[in-house]
Amino acid sequence: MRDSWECAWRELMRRKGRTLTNIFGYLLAVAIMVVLVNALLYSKEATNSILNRVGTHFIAFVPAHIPPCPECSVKSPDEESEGFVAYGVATNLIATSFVDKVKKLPTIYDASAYLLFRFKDQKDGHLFTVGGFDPDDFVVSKTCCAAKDIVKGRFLLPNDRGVVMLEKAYAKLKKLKPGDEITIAGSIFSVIGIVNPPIRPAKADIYMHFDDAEKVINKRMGTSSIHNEANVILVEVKSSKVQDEAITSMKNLLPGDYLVASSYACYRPAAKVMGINEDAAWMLTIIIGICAVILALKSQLSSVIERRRDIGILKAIGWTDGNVVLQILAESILQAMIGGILGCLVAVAILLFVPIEMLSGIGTPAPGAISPLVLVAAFLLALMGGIIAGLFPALAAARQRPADALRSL
Amino acid sequence: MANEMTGEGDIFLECKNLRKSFTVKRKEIRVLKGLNLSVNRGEIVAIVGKTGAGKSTFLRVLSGLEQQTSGSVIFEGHRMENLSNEELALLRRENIGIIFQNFNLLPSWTAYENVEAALLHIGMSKTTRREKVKTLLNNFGLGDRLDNLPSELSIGQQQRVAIARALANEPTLILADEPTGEIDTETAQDIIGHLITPVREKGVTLTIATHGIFPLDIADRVFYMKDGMLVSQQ
Repeated sequence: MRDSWECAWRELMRRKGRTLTNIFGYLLAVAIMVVLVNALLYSKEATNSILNRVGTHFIAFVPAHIPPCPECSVKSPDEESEGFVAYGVATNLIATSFVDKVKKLPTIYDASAYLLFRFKDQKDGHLFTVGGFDPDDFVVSKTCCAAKDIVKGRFLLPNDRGVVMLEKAYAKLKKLKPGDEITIAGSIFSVIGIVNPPIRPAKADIYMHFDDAEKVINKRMGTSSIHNEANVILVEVKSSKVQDEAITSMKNLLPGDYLVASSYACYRPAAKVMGINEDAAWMLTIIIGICAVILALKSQLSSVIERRRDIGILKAIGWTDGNVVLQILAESILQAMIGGILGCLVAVAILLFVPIEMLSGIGTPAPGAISPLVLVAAFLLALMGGIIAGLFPALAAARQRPADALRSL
Repeated sequence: MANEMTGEGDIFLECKNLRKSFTVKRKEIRVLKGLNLSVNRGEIVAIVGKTGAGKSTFLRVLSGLEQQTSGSVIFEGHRMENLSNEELALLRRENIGIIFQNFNLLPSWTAYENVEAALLHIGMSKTTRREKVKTLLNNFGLGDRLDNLPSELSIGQQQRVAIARALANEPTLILADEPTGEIDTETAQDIIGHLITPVREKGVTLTIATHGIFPLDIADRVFYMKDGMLVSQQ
């Protein structure tokens, strides 16, 4: 076996031109494969990251002006200005027990009851919205506002009562800052923080604890008070891929097509387009790999045909078919190994010096990393290519009858 | 009728009614027409005949490189027609040294590598192998030409490399096809000296095919071959 490797190495050294061509072929294929796959993995991660920002959460509500559903009630003090709203549309109320049912759905990661009420300032008549949530619920950070959105002061804590956070634009409009007080429906609240959340489906001008929101709304509503009810359900699904399934499941919980789920519609085509690019890149990677193996096979086969006489002589002086197979295979494998290692090194150099965002065409805050698994897989693929490219010529060489080779001289 | 040329003593190599035909363009060409020959251990046998008499084919059949059409070759008790390609290769590797008509050196291998080729895959350590090849080539006066390619050697030197390769595996049988065929008389004498000395020293059986240049007085027995048949014995 050792003799075969030694002989193979010598043979490669004798045919430097062909050897370098084959090695370069493997190098190129492996380098392209590693760079492409790394870019793909990065792109996939980046895509998921983007989709997760827009594709894993939505809000659900029951619009008003439709026949009341079994779990809904209609309570609105002033339909023209004040009342429960979502996306500027008046909504009905849903029992918070419904949220518990939603939470149990297999596609749902988290769900939370949310009160979104539009008030009319009794002094100047301006309209503003109040959002009431439980700060303990994870989904609040994805659909409403999160601690990282604080620009001044601090975020609402689960035990905070009698305090509010203001949306940055609203605070600016009303010239309010942390420490100031604000009156809502006759109740005075202390401002503890200013938030500036990005695009979120359940944004409001003022945020407070769910319990406080319930109290202040009840104060405004007078006799038709609410209890254990919410007008919006904040939902976080387990993956952007199951969002449609989650919405359908939720709608099935409330028969009659009452529920409206509002999500970002762009994630579907985005995911699809990104998927097409990914498929194309995978296809390209496979084609490059196959081409490299075919070219190496052709080159190795030509080498065997050129050395027909030599192989005949070696068999005549006692080399067995197995010795010949091992010799040719070892040559092919050595070239693949060298090409594979060099290809990995070149790929690492490319990935280190060329920003991966440029290669993948997509950027996210996540840093691009070189996957050791991809490097190992590419090297093993090159090795496998070497075996495949060497096996057929090796068997062809072994089948050759020495007398025929010698007689044809 | 098959012709019979037998010797007396320890029969080492035996051919019985050996026939070999080739089909070229649907026409059967009979090259060997029923040979019978017995060669004793340590004997030097010369097969003399004109070009096309069938000498080279005969040696190829004896070495197992060519399969006979019919008849038997018995080498040290083994019927070669019953051996597989693998077994024939092993037999050549361990017992038979072949000197080809055109030397058949590997053109891109150095003199050293050409001789070493016969010692690869037999489990010999690299150091032992190197020593053995160097000693052999030194004995043949090629100690300073180890790294030369065959194209960089004279015809005589090339033939000496071919003989060294044939002797490298310490065979019990050497089959030499026109070992002095393409060289001048002086070089031929030198080659013969290099070939016969180790053969006699080690008691190796030597079968030489020649068309006459080879000095026949060296041989223990001389057979004449004509049209695929051994016609007489000296």
